[in-house]
Amino acid sequence: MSDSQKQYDQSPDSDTSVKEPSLYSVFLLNDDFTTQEFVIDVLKQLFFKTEEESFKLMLDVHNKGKAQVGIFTKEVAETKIFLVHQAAKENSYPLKCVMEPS
Amino acid sequence: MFDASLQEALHKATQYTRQEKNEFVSLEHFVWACLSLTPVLELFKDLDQDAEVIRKDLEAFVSRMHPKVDKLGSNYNPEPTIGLHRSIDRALKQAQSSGKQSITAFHVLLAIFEEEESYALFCLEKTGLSPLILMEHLSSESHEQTGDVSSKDPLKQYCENLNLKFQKGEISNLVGRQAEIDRVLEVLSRKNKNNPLLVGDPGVGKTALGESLAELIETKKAPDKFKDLTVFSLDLTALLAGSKYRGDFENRLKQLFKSLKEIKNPLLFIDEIHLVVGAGSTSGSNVDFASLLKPVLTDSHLKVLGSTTYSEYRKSFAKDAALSRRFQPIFVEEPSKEETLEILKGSLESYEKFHAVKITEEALETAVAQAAIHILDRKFPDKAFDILDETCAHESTLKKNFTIKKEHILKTLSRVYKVSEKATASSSDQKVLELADALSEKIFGQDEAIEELAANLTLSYSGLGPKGKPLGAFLFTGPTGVGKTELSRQLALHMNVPLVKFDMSEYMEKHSVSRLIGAPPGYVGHEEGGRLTDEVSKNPHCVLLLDEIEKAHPDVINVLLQVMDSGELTDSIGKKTHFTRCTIIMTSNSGAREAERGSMGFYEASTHDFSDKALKEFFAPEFLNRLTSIVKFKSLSRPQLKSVVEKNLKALKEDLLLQNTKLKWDASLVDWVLSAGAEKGMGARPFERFINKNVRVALAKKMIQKDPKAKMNLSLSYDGKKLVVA
Repeated sequence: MSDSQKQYDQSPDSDTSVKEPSLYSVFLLNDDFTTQEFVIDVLKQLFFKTEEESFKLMLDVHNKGKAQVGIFTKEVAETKIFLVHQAAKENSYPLKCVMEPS
Repeated sequence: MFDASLQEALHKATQYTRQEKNEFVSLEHFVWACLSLTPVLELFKDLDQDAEVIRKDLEAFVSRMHPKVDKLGSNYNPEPTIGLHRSIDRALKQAQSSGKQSITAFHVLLAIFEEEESYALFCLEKTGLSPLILMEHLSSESHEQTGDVSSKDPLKQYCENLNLKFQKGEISNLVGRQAEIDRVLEVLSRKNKNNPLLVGDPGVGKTALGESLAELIETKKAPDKFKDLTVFSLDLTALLAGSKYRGDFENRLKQLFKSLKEIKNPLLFIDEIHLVVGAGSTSGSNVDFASLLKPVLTDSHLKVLGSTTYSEYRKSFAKDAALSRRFQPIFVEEPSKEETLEILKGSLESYEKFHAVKITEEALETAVAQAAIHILDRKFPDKAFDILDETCAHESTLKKNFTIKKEHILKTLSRVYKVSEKATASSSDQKVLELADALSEKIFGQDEAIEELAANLTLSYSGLGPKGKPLGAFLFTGPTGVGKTELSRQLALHMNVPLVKFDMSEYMEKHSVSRLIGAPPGYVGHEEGGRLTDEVSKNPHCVLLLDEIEKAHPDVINVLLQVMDSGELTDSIGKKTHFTRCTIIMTSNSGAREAERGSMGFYEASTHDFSDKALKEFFAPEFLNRLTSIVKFKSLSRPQLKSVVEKNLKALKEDLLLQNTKLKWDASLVDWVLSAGAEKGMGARPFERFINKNVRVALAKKMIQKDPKAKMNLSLSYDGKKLVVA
């Protein structure tokens, strides 16, 4: 059975079936140049964390290499990452932010 | 650019975001907002999906998954997510590449289909919506610029709810017409064929009658049976307009009838119902509105009220026997003068308000009275309203808060309807009384003829003359050049009415009757109408001069019999022209030669007998019998001819004055013209020719040599051999 035949054999229903989209976790990644103050600022301003939460998350990033800062829909996660990168660029920090399906 | 629907969606989405205290306007917010737009809702209705369920779903998701951020305060401006930005960008690019100027919410919804893994898309897909459906919808929309017609309420699109119109005060109250209203209600109460048809002349108030049914219902004056009746007025043009494809029209009608069926007690009012015959039929099919209407007419639930004019009823409606048998005709007669006055009084307020004027009662009475006398080809109450409206329109453009009085109505008559102002004066007419004196100043030697004419006209103008006839029908007989045509011209000038002249020598053949009253159907020129009827309907107040009547064919003269007798003439297309404000003058030379010959032998006074005999030979007795009077013109004697010569010289003098030249002459010139210019039996006309040939030509040479601006004095005399110009 060739590959193309396999495709035809699939029922059209399975092809168009819709499933609820999953959520995404957003992580901040550690680097050697971004200041701790800036990371705390980002956490407070963009992720609406409290002073204490921010400090703890910053340390997590620093010690473990990365820390999960929130779970959002893909769309919102994408926007948050964009805003973090924009802020980092403006202040000349190489801070990186990524998302992973949770 | 964004169209109104998209702007509204974005605005609502932003509001919703703020209300939910979310940080970003996401696709979910946007789709939620789109689901409140009418066009989107219609699309979901077609898909058999309940938009409300999807909205609830989205709301639950938003409150579950989008974190509420209290820190943002209440007046922040939420930004769209990158996903929404991207979708709008894609929609714009797509629109641009296809040459569109603006994008709608549908374009953005289509673009969202590329935003994978979003809950908004998940919701949309759940409903079965696919990019294909959206694309189809968008392309069908551009086919049909007017929007999705099929999904709008056909009652609102093709009909007007007269009950609502009355509540808004846009229907003026009906006055009188109780008998017709009762009859309409009777027919409406029938079990079968409960469809009244109002038939009447244009302007008698058929439409007002139909509309007044709404008034009756709304003011709770209708019988119990009809108290919840809703009257819809059909807009046939809207129904037909834009039905491009085969079946569009039928589809619309079907929808309309369906919606009417859902209403409790509907009445469909079709104004100008004769238009339904043939409406909507195409070259390939014979299915017209009328044939689609027939089954509905037998339905006792839906009642149809039609209105049409007599002529249209006969012409197109009655021919469709199957259609007309389903209607019960109710004939609407023209209201009397008194009823019209009542109707006018009933609508007085709306006219006063509209034009911001006051209208006196006397003005109303005048409008009705004058319309009855002068506007004969139209019907009450329309023509009275017309005069009133015209007057108000004219006066209100000049001043504000004006009071319309009798004289303003009379002014309108002369301005708009070409009725001379003198003709509208009801009291004794000064102009007619002065007629004899004024004419004898201009016409020499015909005092008897002038007296006779003036006396007859005085009688007609006073209103004591015969009714329903022309003001006068005179036959002017006499030799050529004694002033017959000139008298008619002066009469028209004096009475300030136009002179309509027909040279009857052009109507010598039998078939020339058709030139006067129009060619019969099937002949060339049938549509053009007749010259006589056209001229007179254009100028109902005129002096109608039929020159040299004896030259016309007897058949032409027969047509005139009817004019003289009943004062009206029906042309070939059936339109009546009224001659009742006309003075008809016919001129003839017959009998002149015999009279001219003079008496041989002993009796002097017998010239009249000669001419009478000739007239009787020439004209049929029924013609002579219908004349108001035969006015005989006499040959001119030498002193009278002298006056004519002087009149001609005076005309010459006036011409020269325009060229800065004064002219004098002495008695020798007048004597010379009289003796040398006279031709026996030719009357006064040869003198004009003689002066032209001998005097004018001689002067013309002088005038060309002379500098046009310089002044000059000339005197003319005759030295026994030739004309002397000095």
